[in-house]
Amino acid sequence: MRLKLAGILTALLLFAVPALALAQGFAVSPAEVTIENLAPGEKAEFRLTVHNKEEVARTFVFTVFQPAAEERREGREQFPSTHWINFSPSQLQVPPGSSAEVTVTVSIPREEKWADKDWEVWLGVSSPSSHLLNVQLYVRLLVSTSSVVSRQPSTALLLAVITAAVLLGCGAYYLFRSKRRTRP
Amino acid sequence: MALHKRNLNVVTVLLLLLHVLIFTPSLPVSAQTTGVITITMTGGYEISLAVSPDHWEPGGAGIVHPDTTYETDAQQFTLTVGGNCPVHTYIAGANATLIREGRIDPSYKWSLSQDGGNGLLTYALWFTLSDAAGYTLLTETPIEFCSTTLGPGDSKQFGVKLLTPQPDFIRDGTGYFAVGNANIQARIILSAVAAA
Repeated sequence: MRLKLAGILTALLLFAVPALALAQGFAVSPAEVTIENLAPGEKAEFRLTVHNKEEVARTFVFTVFQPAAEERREGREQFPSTHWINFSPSQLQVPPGSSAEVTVTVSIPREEKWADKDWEVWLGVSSPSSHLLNVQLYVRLLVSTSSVVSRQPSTALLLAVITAAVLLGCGAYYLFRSKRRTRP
Repeated sequence: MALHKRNLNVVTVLLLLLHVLIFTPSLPVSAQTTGVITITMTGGYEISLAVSPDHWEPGGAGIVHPDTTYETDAQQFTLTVGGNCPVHTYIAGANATLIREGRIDPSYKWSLSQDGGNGLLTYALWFTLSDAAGYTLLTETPIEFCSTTLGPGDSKQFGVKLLTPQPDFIRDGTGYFAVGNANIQARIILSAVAAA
């Protein structure tokens, strides 16, 4: 795999790009979020604040990271799916010396197997750059689900209600008609 | 006629009963109640990390040769913990990418070594804390940067070492990279999470 470039015989490679000699400073709060009693089928929403401490505007991106078992809090299991966590917006442009917020939504599918669980997952915040050294900050997210499933109406229940209404209507109609016709 | 209508009413009642029997088993799960969801943002804790400087020009001008080792002083870089939250810190390396006109060119890259050895298109990175005895190999899997928890205001000095890949080709006894005068971007990721 050789690129056909002018200067192909050049033995040197530029390794680092010129960069500002500034620290990559930014902060995220809160550092830890605990969600308790979240029922499968429900969602929880909270906001993270990103503070850009540098003198230039930065774009921040958000990721979900599954920490190793030894990095998690005691009694916490791995979060089942990173797809259950959504960031809005997915990336954030923050002016120098300013702060901005991202909304995080955690949605648990309505299945009984996700009831009564204690999970941990980390939310990563970083500002990708062309510099050699990059910083990524993680917010610990601790999620505990309730022992019961959400009471939101299921499809079967809705179907049952509709069918019942139709049948009751029919019954009332026939009763009304039969009473009218049996009158002298 | 009256008998026919009475039959219809009976059928209606039977259908209603049948309907209840069919759907009743699915109702208890749907009817369970849930409590109040509690979201706790831990205090006013803010997590923050800074590293300075954030770049390095190996060989003095940022120009490297194949199969060559470059290293900084062990005090070259300083990681500083900000915010108001004690943290665990981690460090990881990444593959090096070719940058053309400000964009990643996927046709050429250096993979990060898993064992400290270099090869064709494979390079290696290490780091050392200023108070450590030797270098620690960096892979894409994050490892502990500092074995102890760092508090707000704490800082750690560290250095890095780079071993460039074997030459892409050799001519007249001299090794060359296939891309000349190009920018290769290597990355080291320093990360932090709130300590227990």
